[in-house]
Amino acid sequence: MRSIRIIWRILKETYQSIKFSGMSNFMVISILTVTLALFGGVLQFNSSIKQIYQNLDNQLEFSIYLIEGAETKAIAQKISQIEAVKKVDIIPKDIAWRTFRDKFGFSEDSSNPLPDTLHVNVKRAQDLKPVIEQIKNYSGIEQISYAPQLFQGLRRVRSILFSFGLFITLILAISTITIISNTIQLIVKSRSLEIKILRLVGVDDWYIRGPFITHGIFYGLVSSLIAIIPLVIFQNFVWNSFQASFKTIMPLTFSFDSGNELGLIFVIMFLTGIIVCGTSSYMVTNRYIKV
Amino acid sequence: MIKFKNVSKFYGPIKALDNINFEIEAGEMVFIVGPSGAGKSTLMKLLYREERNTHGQILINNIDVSSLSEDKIPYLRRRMGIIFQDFKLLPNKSIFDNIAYGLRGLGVSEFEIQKRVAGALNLVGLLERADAFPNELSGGEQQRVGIARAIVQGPPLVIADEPTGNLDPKTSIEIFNLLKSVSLRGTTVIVSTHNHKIVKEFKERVLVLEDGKLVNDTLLSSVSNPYA
Ligand SMILES: Nc1ncnc2c1ncn2[C@@H]1O[C@H](COP(=O)(O)OP(=O)(O)O)[C@@H](O)[C@H]1O
Ligand SMILES: [Mg+2]
Repeated sequence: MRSIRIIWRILKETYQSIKFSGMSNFMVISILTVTLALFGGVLQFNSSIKQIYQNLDNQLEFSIYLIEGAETKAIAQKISQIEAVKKVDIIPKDIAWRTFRDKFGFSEDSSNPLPDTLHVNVKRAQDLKPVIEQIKNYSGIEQISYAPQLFQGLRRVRSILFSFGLFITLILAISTITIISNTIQLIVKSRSLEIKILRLVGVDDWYIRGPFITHGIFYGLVSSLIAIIPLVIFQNFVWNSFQASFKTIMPLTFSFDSGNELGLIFVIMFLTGIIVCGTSSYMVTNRYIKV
Repeated sequence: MIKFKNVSKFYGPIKALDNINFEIEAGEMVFIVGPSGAGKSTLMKLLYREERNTHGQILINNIDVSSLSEDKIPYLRRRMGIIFQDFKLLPNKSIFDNIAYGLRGLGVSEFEIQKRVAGALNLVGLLERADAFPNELSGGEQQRVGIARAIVQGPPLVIADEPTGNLDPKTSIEIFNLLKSVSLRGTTVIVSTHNHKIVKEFKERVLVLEDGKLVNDTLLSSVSNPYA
């Protein structure tokens, strides 16, 4: 009963303390929201790209573009005899062209620039490279195209953007922590008489510090809830439409399950916000409130 | 109840208290008298562990205050009430809330708080001013609130550090009388002042501090009042 009363009173004191901070609440919450949104954005970006090439790594399919006038059937036959190959589909250039033309709306009478194409499926993802190595010297083959090759550059871009994003996040985080600490410190100082009275009455240490720490946690809570909004919007509009258009362009077996781990990212943002804010305010109370 | 044994206190190189020895029995009222800088506040701060003595032992009910660990200090302070020269009232809280403030922190129920605060305010004669704010009261009344706050938990010990330092002589005597009535109810009261003229009017025990040394204790000396 007593502890419920004390917790309730700590919450009331927290409310007082938040009310007292007035406009600086908005400042702290804004910068913290930006920081958390950026942090979440970096994680979201990273997870999206990772998904793209996890998909690419799992590709079982590649395309072979044949030379004009090659022995399409014979080559297909030969490839399908390779142990690791599951099936070979022939896409005659007329059909490929018609599909392409329909999709992109070219006129009927433009001449067909496409060669005959073979779509090869291997049994397991790790068979893809060896099979390509084996096939690439066959005569009649113009070019072999497979997804991982198309996206080699993506890996580098990802790691650069990821590190850069984290770096900016870190710098923002440091300024955010400074601002939070200053805000809490200001309140601690302005309430020094209250604190002194509580100390001398023999009130428990955690009751005295509690409202300041919960005040910090409040910032983390509110900011991470706001910061998730742009990420959800990004997820639903940008990422999902990207997926949709990606599927139409690539004749590949792509599967984006959830798109990325937005739920997990939110939990990480939420916990990071609360833990960082709680710890900063705790440290302020440690420094400015003595027994 | 309280025993100082060879107590010294240094602030860095400054010696604020020099080998102090005395004992106070439960229910006594004791004046600590001495000029400014004599070490009165320091002596009191050692009792409520705002400061820690450098040498010697301070026993309250046979517990050595100076060796108390930090997490035990709140328990020590719950058994004493402290009164200050500058009252230390919260200006934005009513008289009632000023007294209730610490009790709320201690987790006392609102019902119990009502009862105790009313009792304490009644004792200092300010029950009908419960809704007033500190700046609506005279200095003497504000110090009465300070006393009410100190005794609201019924502590066995009350420590008042120059409670009349900001008050005129007439009001000072009223405050000392009020503290006397508190001690008559069985509470040990230690009160400091630099005003030895007023102390003369009370026939209480006086400890005289000068330059950190205990130069007179009327309990032990043949002179009943050193300033007489
Ligand atoms: N926090 C402190 N740091 C350094 N010196 C102090 C401190 N507090 C008190 N003193 C010194 O200790 C001596 C006693 O001070 P104090 O106990 O406040 O005396 P009183 O209350 O009798 O005026 C003085 O010389 C004072 O300057
Ligand atoms: Mg003093």
